[in-house]
Amino acid sequence: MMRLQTYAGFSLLATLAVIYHAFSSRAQFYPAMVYLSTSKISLVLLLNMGLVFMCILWQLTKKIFLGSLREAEVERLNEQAWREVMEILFAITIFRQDFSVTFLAMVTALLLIKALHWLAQKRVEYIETTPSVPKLSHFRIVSFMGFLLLIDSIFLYNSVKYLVETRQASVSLFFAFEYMILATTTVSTFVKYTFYVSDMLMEGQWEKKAVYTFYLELVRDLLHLTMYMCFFLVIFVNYGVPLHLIRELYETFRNFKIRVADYIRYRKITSNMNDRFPDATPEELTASDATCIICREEMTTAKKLICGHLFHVHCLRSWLERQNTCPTCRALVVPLDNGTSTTVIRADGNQQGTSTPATSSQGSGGDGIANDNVSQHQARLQAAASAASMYQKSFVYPSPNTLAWSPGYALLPQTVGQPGSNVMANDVEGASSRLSQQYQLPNMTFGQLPQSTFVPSQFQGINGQFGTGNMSDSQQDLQRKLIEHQIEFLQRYLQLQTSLNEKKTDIGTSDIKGKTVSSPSSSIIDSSETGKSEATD
Amino acid sequence: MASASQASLLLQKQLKDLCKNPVDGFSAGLLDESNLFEWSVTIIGPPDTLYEGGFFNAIMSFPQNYPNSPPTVRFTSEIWHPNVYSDGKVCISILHPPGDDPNGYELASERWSPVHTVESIVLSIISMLSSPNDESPANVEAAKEWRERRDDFKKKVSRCVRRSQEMM
Repeated sequence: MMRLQTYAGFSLLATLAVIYHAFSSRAQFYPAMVYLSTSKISLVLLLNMGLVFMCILWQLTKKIFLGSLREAEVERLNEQAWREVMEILFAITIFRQDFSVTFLAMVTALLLIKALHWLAQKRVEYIETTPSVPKLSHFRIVSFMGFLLLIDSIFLYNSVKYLVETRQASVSLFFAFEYMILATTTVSTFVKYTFYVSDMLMEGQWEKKAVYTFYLELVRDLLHLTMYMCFFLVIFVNYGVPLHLIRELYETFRNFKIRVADYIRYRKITSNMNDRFPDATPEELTASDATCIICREEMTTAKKLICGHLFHVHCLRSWLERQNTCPTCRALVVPLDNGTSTTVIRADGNQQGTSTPATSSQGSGGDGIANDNVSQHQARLQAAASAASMYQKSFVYPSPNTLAWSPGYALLPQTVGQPGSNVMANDVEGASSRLSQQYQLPNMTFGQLPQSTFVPSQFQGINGQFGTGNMSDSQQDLQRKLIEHQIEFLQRYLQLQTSLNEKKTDIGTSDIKGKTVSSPSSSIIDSSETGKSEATD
Repeated sequence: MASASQASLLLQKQLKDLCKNPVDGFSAGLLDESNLFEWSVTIIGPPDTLYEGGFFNAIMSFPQNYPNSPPTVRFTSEIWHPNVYSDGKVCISILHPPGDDPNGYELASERWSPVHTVESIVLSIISMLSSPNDESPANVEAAKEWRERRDDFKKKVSRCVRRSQEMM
């Protein structure tokens, strides 16, 4: 501020001096004017005075609408200003035919107006994150945005009018475009601000705000992207490559791409939030002291992940947009799928895999169960096998990891509880829900961790559970016993399976594989067998 | 996507909690009373470490979509540590957003999760002070010294500790 004052003072003095000199050396008004407008020194000084005027006007606007700037705002201003100056210099080289004093003045004005826009955006962001903002600040920012929009429209109108009148590509094109961008930015900032205000009026209970903000930004980015593209093309046709636009074009494009990807992911997650995760029962809510670990607020209703952790539906949604894991224990969030549909898919995938060595052990691993299922599943298997042979070329055999994430593994308790029994795919859902109460914790770990780290990862999962501190000691003990029991059981079962396999290696392989994989209850055996075969390799 | 108001509610709650039940080893408060997103934290050098007796100031800046994104922590006191950049920025895995590994060293399971609070983050930093991780150092020189010339490292750290005491 001090610097501007001294600078303005010197400029004023110099300008007055040069005017005085003009009038004293040339007695009449007209020659004095001619001197002022032709002599290089006086021209520079006069232009400098114009610049000082603009700066003072800028400072005045800033003082009226924003008051003193915060540190972050100054930082942003400096950072953006350098980039912008560089780009405007590029722009000047493109429009060099139109270079004139007016052009220079317009460019400077544009730069200053842009700076005001950045400040407005930053200020809106600040207001949004500050809990208590005085009324005056709100009034100021609203009038400031109105003022900016007015300025943008005036300049835009002038440039467009000029373009329409001359019907010729000129530097007005540049200004028209720049002000168009600025105007849309101001509008979107304003709308964002209104979202904030309405959220505040609803005392922060407006859940849809995030969604609307997101759509707003999506539309804004799309608009900017199309404008940049059009302008780029127009300039390219008339003048050559617009260097100053490349960075902005690229950035807008990248932003837009990220947003679209976000959008797709967001849709995927939120479209079936309600069906994907079960509601927590009141008992479960009270058992976990009913606090959402994400926002630390009390929960009256909650969604339950497969690992048993509870969250607010909106908190869970905003986290799942970023990451597909449970915030508490980092277990993968796997959707609960329909049992029958996955059976067929898995059968296809595994049939295809008969050619790879890894599957042969996997396939034979499930014999014990598969054999018992033969009669029930015969028809289904044949269909699956034929489908598989049809898709043979297009299917890629899933890696052990992908298999591990597949929902089939969530059916572990069945295998454990009734090994070798005939479980129809249709019964699966009922049976699993019956048993999942009993085997909740191991179920979760098997469902989500890669099979190669079979036992250790199970413990990891348990540790995660303990770490939350939600469980009482007796519960923990119970869980531990349960898991230990299960491990022992599985190991025995594994031995049994291996011995069975040795007897049955001579059975026709491809047929059996089909049976094996078609039964979802065999999948856990697949996993342990594969784990074993990997270990022995 | 998460609204800023959710973040400020959560931060306010944590501030209240920390005021009511202060935790040993650090003190935390707002840098500027009107802004919940900038915290000022003073970490007391953990006992039985090289940093014992120091009072290290740090600024914790939360993003608007906290707790879905991690805050950044920057020491304003001078500190010599393998996991602190020369500008004071703290480099620990729980402060890195999931899915973005700048160094290629960390598992996704070690990175940010929305359950972290000011308290848990500061406690992680305190444990970082007592056991530096020289596998993925932010300050390569400090890590090298820590590994190879422990005496020089100790000297530098105790200078930092002294300075931090003078500043108090």
